[in-house]
Amino acid sequence: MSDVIVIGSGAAGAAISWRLGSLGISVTCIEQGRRYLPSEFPSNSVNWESRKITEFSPNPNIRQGKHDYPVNNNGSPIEIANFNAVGGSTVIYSGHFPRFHPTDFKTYETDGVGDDWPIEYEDLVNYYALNEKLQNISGLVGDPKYPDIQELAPPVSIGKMGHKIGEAFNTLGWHWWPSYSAILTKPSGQRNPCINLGPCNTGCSQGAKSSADVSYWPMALDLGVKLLSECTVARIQTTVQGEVSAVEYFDSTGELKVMTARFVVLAASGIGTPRILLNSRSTFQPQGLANSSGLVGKRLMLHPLAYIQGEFTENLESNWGPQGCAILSQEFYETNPKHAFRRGYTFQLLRGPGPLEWIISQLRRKEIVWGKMHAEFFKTRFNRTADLAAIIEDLPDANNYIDLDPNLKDRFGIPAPRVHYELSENSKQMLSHALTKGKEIMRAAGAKRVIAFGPVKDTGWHIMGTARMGSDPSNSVVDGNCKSHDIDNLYIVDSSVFVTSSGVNPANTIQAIALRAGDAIAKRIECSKGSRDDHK
Amino acid sequence: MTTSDRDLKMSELLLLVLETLIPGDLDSNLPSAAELFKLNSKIGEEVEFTFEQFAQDYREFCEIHDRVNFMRSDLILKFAAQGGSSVSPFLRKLLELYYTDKMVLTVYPEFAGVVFPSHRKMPQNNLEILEPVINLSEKS
Repeated sequence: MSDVIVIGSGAAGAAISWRLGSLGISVTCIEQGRRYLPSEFPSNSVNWESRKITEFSPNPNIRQGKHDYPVNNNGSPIEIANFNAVGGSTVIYSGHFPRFHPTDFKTYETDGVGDDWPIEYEDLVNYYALNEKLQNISGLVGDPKYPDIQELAPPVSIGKMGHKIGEAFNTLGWHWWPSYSAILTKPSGQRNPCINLGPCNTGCSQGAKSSADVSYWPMALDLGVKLLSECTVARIQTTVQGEVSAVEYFDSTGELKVMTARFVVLAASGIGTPRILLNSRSTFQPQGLANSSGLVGKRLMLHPLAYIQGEFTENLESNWGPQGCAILSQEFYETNPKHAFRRGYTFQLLRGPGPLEWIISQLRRKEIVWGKMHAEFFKTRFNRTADLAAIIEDLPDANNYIDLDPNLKDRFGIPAPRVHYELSENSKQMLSHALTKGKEIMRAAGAKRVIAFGPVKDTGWHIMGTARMGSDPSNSVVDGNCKSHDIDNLYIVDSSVFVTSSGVNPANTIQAIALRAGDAIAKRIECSKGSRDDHK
Repeated sequence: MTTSDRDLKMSELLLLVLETLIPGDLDSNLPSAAELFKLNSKIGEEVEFTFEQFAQDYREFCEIHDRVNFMRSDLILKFAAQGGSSVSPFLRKLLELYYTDKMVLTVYPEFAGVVFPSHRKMPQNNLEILEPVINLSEKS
C-alpha cells in the first residue's frame, strides 16, 4: 500500500507526485490516459493539422478517444477543452506560464468583488520559484509587473510579429513583455531547446515544451513514484467514520479494482475532480464526497477569451515559433475605476494559425478566393496576421456550475459532467473592453484590417473554482493546505481549489499550489511516522 | 441514363470542380486539386464522400439560374463562392486534403521546416524596444 494515491497525472498530479516522492513518501498515481511518445505527435507528419482537429482536438467530444469522457456543453457558450494522457492537458497546452499577481489572492479586499483566498501570494512565492526552476521557464527578468522574478532562461524569440506588436504597444504607451514560457530555450538534461516549428498544441515532438510528461514525470519515476496509466477512477470509497478508505478504478483491461492508501489526492482537473466527488456519493455522503458546503462543482470560472486578428501586408512569419508564447501585456490587469468592470485581463500574442486552419477560417468568412487566383491568394495572405488573445478574469458565481448528466456516460457507464455557464455582466464588459483595445493595438501596428470576436467557443481550457479553497467549512471545500474540510485524509490540488481565476493562464499557480500541498501532506506523514517510532 | 452513365457524369463533374476551384500553378510546381485526386486514391474516396451533396445542390443552383449546362467553370466558382451549409463540408474536406498534402506544402518555403525534426531559425530579440516599457514604469 502506498502512503498516497494521486488521481490524475497532469500539471497538479505530476508536481505533487514528484514533491512527495522527493520527500520519501510512497506514491501511486492513477491516470486515465495513456503515455504518448514524441514520435506519435502530429508534428512528425505533414498532416499534423488534420490530426489537430481530430484525435488531438482539445474538445473531448470531437476527439472521442478511448480514454476520454464526454462532456455535455449544451448549457455553455464556451466548450470544455482538455486532454487525457500522462501529463494531462499540458501535453497539448501552449506553455504560457505567468504567475498570479498578489492582488489575485485578495480581490474582495482590494476591489470588493469575488472572495479572498485563505493564502497569499507570499505563501506561494517560493513554490513558484521552485516550479519555474525545475522546468527551466524562459522569459526575461525585469518586468515591472513581476518585479520579484529573479531567475529565468532566455526568452523565446518573439519573431517579426512580436517586434511589430511590441512597437505598437510602445506607440500606445502600454505595458508589454516577452512571455513567460514553459518552453526550453537552452538544453536541459536530456531535453533540447525549441526549434520553432509551431504546433505546440498538438504535443511537442522535440520535447522542448515542459509538459508534465517530460518535465516532472521522469524525475518522479526516478524517485520511485508508481504511475498506473490507462486506469479510470470510478469513485472514492469512504468509511462510516467519514475517512477515505480506497479508490475504485477500471484498469487497462477494463477490470474493476480497488486500491487503498492513507491519503488520497485529487488532481483530475476543474471538471474531472468534481465529477469524481459527485460520483462518489454514498449513504453517508448523499451530496457527494467532501460536499457538506454544497459547493462541489459550483462557482465554475472559465476565462472567456477575446480574439483579435490583424491582417498585414508584409510577411510576418506569423506561424513560426512556439504557438502560445510570444509577448504578453498586463496594461489592463488591475481594477481601474474608469472601467465599467472590476479586475482585468492579460493580452497574449499568439503565433498565427497553420495553413489549413488559416484557409478554413477564410472559407468560414466566405473570403476565400477560388480558381486561378487561389494560389496567389494563399501566397500573399498567409502568415500575414497577428493574433492576440485576451484572457478575461472570470469572477466566481454560484450560478455557473458543473453537475452530473443524468443520461450521458463514459464507456464504463460512469456519469459524465454537464456544464452550466453564462458570462457575467462583469465578464461581458471586460470582454468588450478587450476587443476594443485589441483593435486599437492592431491599428497602431498598421494592420490593414482587424477582425475581433469573443467569447471563443472551443477555449474552455482553464476550468477553475469547482471545489474552492477557504477557511470556513460552510462556504468552501478545502482549507488553505488543500485538505478537505469534511474528510481528513482527502486533498484536492488542481484548479478546482481556485477561489478566483486571475487574468492569466493557471498552470504555474496550479503547480505551485500542488507543491505546497505536497509539503503539507509530507509533514503530516512524517509527524505520524515520528509518533509511531516514538511508541516503538 | 444508366447508373454507370450517372457515375461517369459525376466523376467528370468532380474532376471539373476540383480543377476549377484549385487549378494549381505550373510555374511553382503546385499541383491542382484534380491532380492530387488522380494520384491518391485515399484523397479520392474522402472527397467523393462529401461531393454527392455538393453536386446535387449545385445542379439545383444551375436550374434556378436557368442554366442547362452545368459543366461550366464560371457557375462552379459562383456556387462555391456562396459557401452555403451544404457546400461547406465538401469544400472543407477539399481544403483539408489539399493543405495537408506533402506535394503542396513543400512548394511553399514557409512550410518547408514544419515537420519534425526540421527547424526554423527565428530572428534574435531586439530587447532595446523594451526601454519604453521600463521607462513607463519608472515614471509611474
